[in-house]
Amino acid sequence: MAVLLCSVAFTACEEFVETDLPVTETTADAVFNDKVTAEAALLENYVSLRDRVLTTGTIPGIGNLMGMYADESVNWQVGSIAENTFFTNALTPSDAAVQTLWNDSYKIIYQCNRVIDGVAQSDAFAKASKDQLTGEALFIRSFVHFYLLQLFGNIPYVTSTDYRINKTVAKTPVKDMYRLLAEDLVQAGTLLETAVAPVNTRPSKYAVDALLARLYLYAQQYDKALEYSSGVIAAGFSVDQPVEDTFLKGGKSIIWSLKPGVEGANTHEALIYIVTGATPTSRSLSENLVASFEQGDLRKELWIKKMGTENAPYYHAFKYREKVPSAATKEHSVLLRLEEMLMIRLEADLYLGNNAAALKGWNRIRERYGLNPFTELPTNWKKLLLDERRHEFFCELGHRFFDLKRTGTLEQEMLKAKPSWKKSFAKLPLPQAELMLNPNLLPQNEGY
Amino acid sequence: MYRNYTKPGGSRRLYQKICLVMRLIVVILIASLVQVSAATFGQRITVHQKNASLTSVLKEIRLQSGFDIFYDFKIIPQHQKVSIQLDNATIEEALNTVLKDFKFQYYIDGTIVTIKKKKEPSVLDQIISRFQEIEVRGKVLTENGEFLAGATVAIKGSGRSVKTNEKGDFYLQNVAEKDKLLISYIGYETLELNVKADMGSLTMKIADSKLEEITVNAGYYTVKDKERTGSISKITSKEIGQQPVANPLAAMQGRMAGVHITQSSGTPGGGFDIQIRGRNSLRTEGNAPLYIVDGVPFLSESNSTGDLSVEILRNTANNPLQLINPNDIESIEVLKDADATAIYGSRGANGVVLITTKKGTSQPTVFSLQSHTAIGIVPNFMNLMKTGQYLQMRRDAFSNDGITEFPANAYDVKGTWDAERYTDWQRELIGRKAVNQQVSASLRGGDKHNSFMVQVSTAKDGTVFPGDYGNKRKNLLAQFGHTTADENWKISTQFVRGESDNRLLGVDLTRDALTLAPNAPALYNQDGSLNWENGTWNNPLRWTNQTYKAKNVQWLTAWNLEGKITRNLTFKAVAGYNEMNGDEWKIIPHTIYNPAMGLTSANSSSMQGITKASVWNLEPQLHFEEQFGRHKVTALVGTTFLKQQNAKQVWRASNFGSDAQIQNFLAAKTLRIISNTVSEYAYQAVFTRLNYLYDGRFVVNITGRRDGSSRFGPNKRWGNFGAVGAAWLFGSEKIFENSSWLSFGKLRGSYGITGSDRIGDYQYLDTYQYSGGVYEGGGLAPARLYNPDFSWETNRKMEAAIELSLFNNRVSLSTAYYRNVSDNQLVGVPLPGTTGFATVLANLPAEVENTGWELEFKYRVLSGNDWNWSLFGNWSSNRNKLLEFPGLEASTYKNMYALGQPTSMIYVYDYTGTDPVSGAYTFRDVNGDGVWNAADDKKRIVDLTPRYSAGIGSEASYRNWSLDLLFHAVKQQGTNHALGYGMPGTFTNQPSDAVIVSAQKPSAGYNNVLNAAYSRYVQSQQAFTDASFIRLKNVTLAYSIPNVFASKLSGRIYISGQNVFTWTNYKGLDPESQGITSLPPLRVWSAGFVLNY
Repeated sequence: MAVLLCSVAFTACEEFVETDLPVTETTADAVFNDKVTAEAALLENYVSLRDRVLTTGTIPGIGNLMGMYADESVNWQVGSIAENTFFTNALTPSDAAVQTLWNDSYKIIYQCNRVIDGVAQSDAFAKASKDQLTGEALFIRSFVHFYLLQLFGNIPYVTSTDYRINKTVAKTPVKDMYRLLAEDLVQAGTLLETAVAPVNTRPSKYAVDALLARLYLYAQQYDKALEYSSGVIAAGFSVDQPVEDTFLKGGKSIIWSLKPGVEGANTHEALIYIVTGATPTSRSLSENLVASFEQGDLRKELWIKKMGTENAPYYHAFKYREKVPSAATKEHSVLLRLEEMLMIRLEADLYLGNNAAALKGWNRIRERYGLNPFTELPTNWKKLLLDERRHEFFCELGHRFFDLKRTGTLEQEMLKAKPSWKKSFAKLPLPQAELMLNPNLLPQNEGY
Repeated sequence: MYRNYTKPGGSRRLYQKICLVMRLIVVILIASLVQVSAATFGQRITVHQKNASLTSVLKEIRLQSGFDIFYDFKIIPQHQKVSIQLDNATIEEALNTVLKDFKFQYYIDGTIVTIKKKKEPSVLDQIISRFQEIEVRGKVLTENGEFLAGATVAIKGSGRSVKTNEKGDFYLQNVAEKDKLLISYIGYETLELNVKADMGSLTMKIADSKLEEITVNAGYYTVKDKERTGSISKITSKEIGQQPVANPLAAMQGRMAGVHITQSSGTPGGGFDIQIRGRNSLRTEGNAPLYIVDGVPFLSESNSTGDLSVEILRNTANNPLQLINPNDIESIEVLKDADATAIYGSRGANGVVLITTKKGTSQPTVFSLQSHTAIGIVPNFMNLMKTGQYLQMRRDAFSNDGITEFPANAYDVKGTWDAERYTDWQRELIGRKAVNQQVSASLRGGDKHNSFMVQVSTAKDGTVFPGDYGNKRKNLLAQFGHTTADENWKISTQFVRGESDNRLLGVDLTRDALTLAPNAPALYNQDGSLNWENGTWNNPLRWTNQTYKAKNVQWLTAWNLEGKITRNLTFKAVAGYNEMNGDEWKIIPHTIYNPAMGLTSANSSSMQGITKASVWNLEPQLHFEEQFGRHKVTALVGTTFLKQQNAKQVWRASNFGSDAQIQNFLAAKTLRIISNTVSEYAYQAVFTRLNYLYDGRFVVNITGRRDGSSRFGPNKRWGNFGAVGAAWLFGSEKIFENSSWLSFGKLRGSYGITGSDRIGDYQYLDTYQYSGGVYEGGGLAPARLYNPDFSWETNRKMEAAIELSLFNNRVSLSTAYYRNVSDNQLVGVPLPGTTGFATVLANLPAEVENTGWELEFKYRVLSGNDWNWSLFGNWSSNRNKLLEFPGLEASTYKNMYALGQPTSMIYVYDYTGTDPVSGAYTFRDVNGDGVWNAADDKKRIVDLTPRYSAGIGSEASYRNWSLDLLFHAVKQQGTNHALGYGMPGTFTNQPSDAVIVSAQKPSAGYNNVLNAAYSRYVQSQQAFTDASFIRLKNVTLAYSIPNVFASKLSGRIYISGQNVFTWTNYKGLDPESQGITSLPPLRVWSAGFVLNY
C-alpha cells in the first residue's frame, strides 16, 4: 500500500514539473512535422548567406573582405577594423573577423544538417517536398564547405548535428574533401528540380551542376568541369541581354541569386560598393584592376564608375546600381551565373586541348563585351584567361583570390600589388580559439 | 491566594495534590457562597467575645458578613487571644478592630477578604512609612504609540501587580513613594521606574537583547534566536520605521552584515542592487536572492524592457520591491548560510529574503493615521569649470592641435555663443526639490479569537528634474486571522497590493547637467518655447518632450491554515498567489529633435512593453514537537507545488500622422513587434527539518530538500540539497553559571549544499524561433544547441560563528566566517565553432569562491527611567575568487575573467605615464608589438568588489524624545568621476581641476595621437578611483505625544533625514551611484506624524 502510494505520489510529481511547450518557440519535432516550418528552417540559411556571413554583400562578406585581401579593392578606413586588417594582410589567429567567418559558416552547416536529419525523420509531408528540402540543404552545406576549403585549406567536413561529435572533429584532407563534396552535390542534383525559373532565388539542379562544374575546375578535373558546365549552358540560361542588365532581378544568366528581405529593398552590394564624395572614405577599386582592362571593354564602361576629380579620380564597382530602395525590387545578389559556366567551359576546353571550341567560346565572350575577337588562341592564354575572369568577376565573392590560388599564380600576382605579400597568406589562419577548444584541428596553418 | 487557605504540612507532592483539590473545592465553594450571600450580603456584624481565638472570631465574622476570608493558618499565633465588642459594624470596622493587635494586613476584593502577614518594617521603612502612601496611574504604549493592553505593572518586591486595560491604562492604590514599578510584557524590555502619582505615558521597547524571548522567522519554521543554528539577519518595523524611503531595500541598507545593497539611481522607480555574500554565479541574473512575502514567492524580477527604460532609469528600472510599502512590513529576515537556506534548496544559493507584513492583534481596535512630507535634493554638486576657465581650456586645446581658425561647429569658443554667459547647469537641470508625500491610514485590532488589520497608503515621489514628474504609489494591506474556540485551528489571510504609476521624462538629465558648456544658450526663448539657438545646440529640455511611463500593479495573497492534530503534531498549509502586471511606455515625439531638421510626426515613435507574470504556490506541512526530559525534538516535513507564468510583448510604432495619437498603434504607419515571449515554470519539492535540542545547550539542525524544476530536461529534473547546522550554547554550561560577565555564549557552525535554477525556462528544449530575418516568408533558426543534460548549479556553503552576550546582556557580539563555493556553473560552455554555436548551456565545472567575515554588535550604554541609549553596528567583508574555469583562455570569457581573481574584475590598459615628445598618455605594450589592442594589451586587473562595508547606529531616548542615527560605510573602488566627460579640450564641460589633473594637454580632438591615447586612458586603471564613503544614512528625531484628548489619542511626531551627509574622497556626484549618467541618491528630509486612536 505504502509503495503504491509513493509511486502514485512520485508520478504525480513528475507530471507536475512538466510544462506546456513554449508558444513563442517551436520544438524541433514540431518544426519538422510541418512543411511550412521545415521550409522556414531551411530558408533561414538564405537569410544568413544574404545578410550575415560568407557570401553576404555586407562588409563581413568575402566579396568585400577577400577583395581587400587580394588586389581588387583599396581600403581607406583606418583603425583596427576588419577591412583594414584584411587589406594590409595583417591577419592573426585571434582576428575577430576570421573567427566570425568560421563560426557563422559552420552555423549554417549545422542548420543544414538539422534540416537533413529533421526531414529524414519526418513523415509529415510528401516525397517531393522532402527531396527539395534535403536537396537544398545538401547543396548549401557543400557550398559553404567549398568556400571554407578555399579560405582555410584543410578543414573538418561536418555532417552531424551532435555537438559532442562536432566539438572534436578533425580536418579532412583536401582530396577527400572534393570527393565528399562532389558526392553530396550529385545526390542533391538528383533531388532538385530542373526548371529554369525566370527568377532563381532558390538553388535548382542547375545551381548544383554549376557548383559541380566549379568544383571540378578547382580540382583540375577538366573533363568533369566541361561536362557539368556544358550541361548548364545547354539548359536554357542566356547571356543574350544588355551587359548592364546582368544583375537585375530576372536576369537571364542568373542560375542562383538571393532576393532582399523586403519588397522594394535592393542589394547590400550596392550599399557598400557605391561610394560618393570627392575623396573615397571607405573603399574604392584598385588602380591595378582598373588599369588592367582592355580599351573599350564594356565591363569597364558599365560595371565601374569613375568618381572624384579629373586630377584625382577614383573608381568604385557599379555592378549593382540600386543603392536606395525602389518601388519594386530591381536587383538581386547573384551567386551563380551563366557567365561563369562559359568561362569554365572555356578553361576546360583550353586545358583539354579542344582549341577550336575554346577559341569559339572565348570570342563569343569577347564580342559580347565589345572586344575584338582573337584570330587564334593566344599563346599566353593562361594569363589572359585569368585577366578575363578578373574582369568578369571583380568584387564578386572573392573569385579573383580563389582563381589566383588554384592556378598557383597567387604569390607572383600579389607581389605586384602588395610587396609585403607572403606565400603563407594563401590560407587564412585557423581561429586561435578553435584550436584551443579542439586540438584535433592542429596544426595551425603555416605562417601563423 | 488559595494557597493561604490551605493547611500546612505534607510532602511537596502531596501539597501539590491537595492544592489542586482545594482549588476545585474553592471554586465550588465560591460559587455556592455567592448564592448564599445574596441573602446575607451587606449585613452588619455584631460580635461579643472574650479571650477567644482569632480563628473563631474570624469564623464568626465570615458567617455574619457573608464575606469569605482566606488566610494561612501558619501565620495565626495560636496562643494570642482576642477580646472584642462589635455592634452593627461594617466588615472593615470589624476587621480593623479584630486585627489591630496583629501584624496583619487585609485586602477586600468583592466578597473575598485576604489576610496576610505584614512585612516587618526596617528602621528605614519606618521612617519612610511616615510618607503618605499614594495612588499611581499611568499609560503603557508601544514604540509605535499604540496602547499596550495586558502588560503587567508590579510593585517591586511586594508581589502586588495589576494588568493594563485595553487603553493601556493602569491604576494602583496604596503604593509607597519609595516603591519601584516593574512593567513587563512578553517580548518587551521590562521597565523599572520610580513611582509617582502620574506616571504619564510609558513606552515599552521591544526586547531585542533578551535572547530568550526573541524568535526569528526562518521561513518554514520559527526558531528562538538563542537556539538558532543558522545565519539570519533581521530588521523590524522599528528600524524601517519612518524612514522616508519608497523601497524596503533602502531601509535595509547598512543594517545587515553581509547584505550589500547599492542604490544606482535617485530617480523614482530606479532600482537597487542586492548581493548577499557576494556573487556566486557567473551570470549576472543568476545572483539575485529569493524573495518570499508571507510565505509566497515574490515576483522580484524587473519586468522592464531595457530599450524603454535605460535612458532614464539606467538598467535597474521598476524593481518590483518598490511595490511593497515599507510601512506595511513587520519584519525582514535575510537567510544567509547553508543551515538557513538549504531548506529552500535550489532557490537558496543566493540567500533568501523573507518579508513579513503587518498583522492584526488581539487588542482592541486602534485607528492609526500616518503621514509624512519629504523634500529631496541632490546632496552634492560637482565643482565644474566656469565659463572663463572653460573657454581658456578650449582655446588652449585648439592651439595645442595646431588649429588657428576655429571650425564652424565650435560654437562655444568661436563666438557664436555669448562668451560672457554662464549657467550653472547642475542647478538648472537637477537642482529642484523633489517633494515626496505619503499618507496611510490603518485599522488594527482583534480579540482572543480574531484579528484584523487594514492599511491603505498613498504616496507620491517627485523628482529634481524640471517639470512635474514622479511616481505615484498606492498600497493596500488587508489581514484577517481567526482562531477556533478550542484554539486548535487557526486560519489567517493576507492581501498585499501595490500599484505604481511612474511618469518621467525620457532621459536622465544628469549627464547634460554635468557636461553642457557653461556658456551654452538659454533654455527658453522669450515666448516660452524651447530655444534651439539656430540649431547650434541640442536643448537638454527636449527630453522633457519624451516621456517614460510605467504602470505596475502587483498583488499577493497568502492563506495560512494551522491546526493541532495531536498534542505534538501540527498541520500547516500555506497557499499563495502573486501577480504582477506591467505597462511600460517610451514615447518619442518628433519634437525632441531640432526643428531646423524639419521633421514631422512621421518621425515620431512610441514603444510599449506589456508584461504579465503570475505565480501560485501551495505548501502543506506537518510539524512535530516533543520534549522528553532534557531532549527536545522538533521536526517538519512539507511539500511545495509552484507554477509560474510569464508573458511579455514589446511593440514599436512609428511614422504617425499626428503626435496627438502617438499612443494609438492604429495611427502608426509602421508597427513592429520587437519581442514576444511566453513561458511557464513548474516546480515541486519535498522538504524536511529535524531539530534536536539537548538540555538547552546543544542543538543540531538538519534540513533537506528534494527539488524538481521544469527548467531542466526530464532526466535532470530532480536535485537534492541539504545542510547540517549545530550550536553549542556554552554560556549555559555550569562553569559560566554564576559568571558576572558572560550572560550568553554560543558557538555555531553549518555546512550544506544549496542550488540555483535561475537559468530561464525551456533552455533544455530543442527549439526553433523566428530569427527576424525574412526570406520568402521567414526564417526559423535553432534557438540554441540542444543539451537535455544540464542541471542545477550548486553552492556549497560553510559557516562558523560565535555569539556572545556580556555583562547582563548589555553587550552582545557575534562574528561569523563563511566560505561558499559555487560549482557546476550554468553558463554557456565554450565550444568550437564547428558545432554551429559558440557555446552550449551546460554545467561548467567552473568554481567561484566567496569567503568573508561578518561582525555584529549591540551595546546598551544606558538604560534607566529617563535615559536609554544603545549602540549597534555591523561590519562585513567579502572576497570573491574564480577558482577554476576549464577552457577559459579559448572562450569568449577570457577578456572578462582570470583565475584567482574576483569575477567582478575588469581588464584595463596599464597606464604608464606621458610621452615626453607627443605629450600623450602612454600604456604598457604587453606583447611588445608596437600597437595597443584590447585583446592583447588590456592585461592589468582592477578589482571592483567592495572591500568591506559597515553600518553603525545609535538609538537614544530621553523620556518622550528619541534620536536615532545610522551611519553606513563602504570601502571600494569605483568609476572615476572624470570618466564620461570626454577628453579635456573637447566640446564638453569638465571638472574644474581637469586640466591640472590631466597629464595630457587639452586637445579639441584634432590630434589623432592624443585621441587614441585618451580612448585608452579611459580603459586604464586611471578610469577607477577610490569610491569609499561614510554616510549618515538616517537620522530621526521623534517625540512621543503623551495622552491627549482624555487619554484616548496618542502618537508620535518626527523629523527624519536620509543620506544626510557623506564623508568621501570621491570627487564625483556620489560614490554609491558613481559615474555621471545617473542621478545620485537624494538627501531627503521628512517630517511626519503617527496618530493612534
